[in-house]
Amino acid sequence: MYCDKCHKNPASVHVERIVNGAKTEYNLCMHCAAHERSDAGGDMSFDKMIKEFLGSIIGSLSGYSGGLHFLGPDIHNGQAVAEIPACQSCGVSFDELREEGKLGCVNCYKAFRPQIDTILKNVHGSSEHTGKTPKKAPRELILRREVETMKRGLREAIEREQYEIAAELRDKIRSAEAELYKQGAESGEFKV
Amino acid sequence: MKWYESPLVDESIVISARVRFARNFEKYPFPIKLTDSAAQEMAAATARAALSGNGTAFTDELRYFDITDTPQESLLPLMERHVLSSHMVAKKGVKGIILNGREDVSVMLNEEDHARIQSIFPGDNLDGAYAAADALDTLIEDKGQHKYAFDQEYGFLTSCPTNAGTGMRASLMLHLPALENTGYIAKMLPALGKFRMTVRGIHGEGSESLGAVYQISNQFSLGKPETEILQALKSAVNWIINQEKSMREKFFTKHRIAVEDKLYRSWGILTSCRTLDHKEGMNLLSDARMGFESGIYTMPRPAKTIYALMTNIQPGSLCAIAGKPLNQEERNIYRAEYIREQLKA
Repeated sequence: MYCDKCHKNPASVHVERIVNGAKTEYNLCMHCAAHERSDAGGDMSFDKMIKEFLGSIIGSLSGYSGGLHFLGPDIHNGQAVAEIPACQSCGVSFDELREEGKLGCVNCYKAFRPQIDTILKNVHGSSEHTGKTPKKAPRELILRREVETMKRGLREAIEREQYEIAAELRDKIRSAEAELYKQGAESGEFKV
Repeated sequence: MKWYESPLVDESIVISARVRFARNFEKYPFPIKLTDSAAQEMAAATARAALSGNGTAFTDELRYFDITDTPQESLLPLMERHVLSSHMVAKKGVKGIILNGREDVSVMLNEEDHARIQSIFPGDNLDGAYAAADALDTLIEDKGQHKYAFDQEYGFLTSCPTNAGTGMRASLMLHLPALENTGYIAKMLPALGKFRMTVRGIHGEGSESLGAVYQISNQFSLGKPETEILQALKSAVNWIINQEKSMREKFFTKHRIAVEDKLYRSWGILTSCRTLDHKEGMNLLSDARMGFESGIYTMPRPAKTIYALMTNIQPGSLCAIAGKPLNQEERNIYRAEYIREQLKA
């Protein structure tokens, strides 16, 4: 990307200027950016250095933080954006989420669940967490995760013909499943 | 000693390994919707929980700093040392940092998420960085007053859904002069995408590469357990390392004298120049790093690591070392002086 002013040097500074509420954005090389700052009457020394440096690092703010446009229209799940109600807890609208790429609170995950589900599948290739579980999560959830991990371990142990380890894991899985059953969890719910 | 002063940062292609977890507390809205007073309360509570591990869980004591009113020029060196994100330096309002002396364990408070727990280790010790960040994460939850925001299906909930699930971003910082010089690095990007990994410059998102330093990190954080994500990153990075090695070997065999000449000329400039801009400084230090790593340089290594010099010649850090604000011209002069002094035989 070349400088929007001289069209010669590579652009390294992203400038946003708001005049009477209208925002203009352009990309400048260091040389033109320095002139731009002095034109605007800014401090040419340290303040400028910080801004330039940060600018070159942050780059275009509408790139990453500016969200989820890259996902395309399918994230609406056939629903017009305006019809999707805002989050009742924090007030973030779906349009804001698309623009900023950020949710306002835990409840947003419920408010925009179908949309977020699609986002997660697009970004991560999955919408199902299989990693760490917090210690303060309900006991049932922790047990379920442990069972899933142990079942993976069991499969691996069998593949490697480590039958002692496999037998040990099988017993642990049984006792964890028994505890889950006692807690009223339906054993049929296990996802393997 | 800071982590980047360990000789391990100069010993191989891998400079450092980093793991960070994005965490939020169920009780509070995410930072974009959090009031200043609630943010203060959240930051203080998180700091109390983290600092409770001092003396037991952590040998190098963690400290908490409220950086809400800290001027940007004081925060910039911390960003250059990978402790703070650029967003954290630029953002207004309540912000805090938990940090130890080595700067290998830290937490950004009220960044995009309530807590960004991070560990960065010298060399390729990704498992070490993971273990340290994971231990601090567990401690903050265990000793904290509040539950983490967690969904049975989606895992840890984050302000940006791109971080949800494990909330983990793991990265390895690599020095890839041969792949950069041949332009091969750009050709590797699509292949890395297939690994679901991404390449960034020295300062992450949107930053250009300086001194042939690149960060490779996972693009996805959901759907696989942490250990498998780390394994996928290691595989991708091993592939890159092998490419870099074979490219270097080709260079060294075919153009031995040309390579030696370039590396020694760079040393000559570093030890005698009178003014040096940031980019040229990084490129020359990149040559110096390769000179020592490959064994082409026969002179003794300087007291500071080459990567520490790369860190210290950045604009903010340089002003911090000088102890005063310097404009660009002054910085270039001081940078040359600083490097000459550090490389003195």
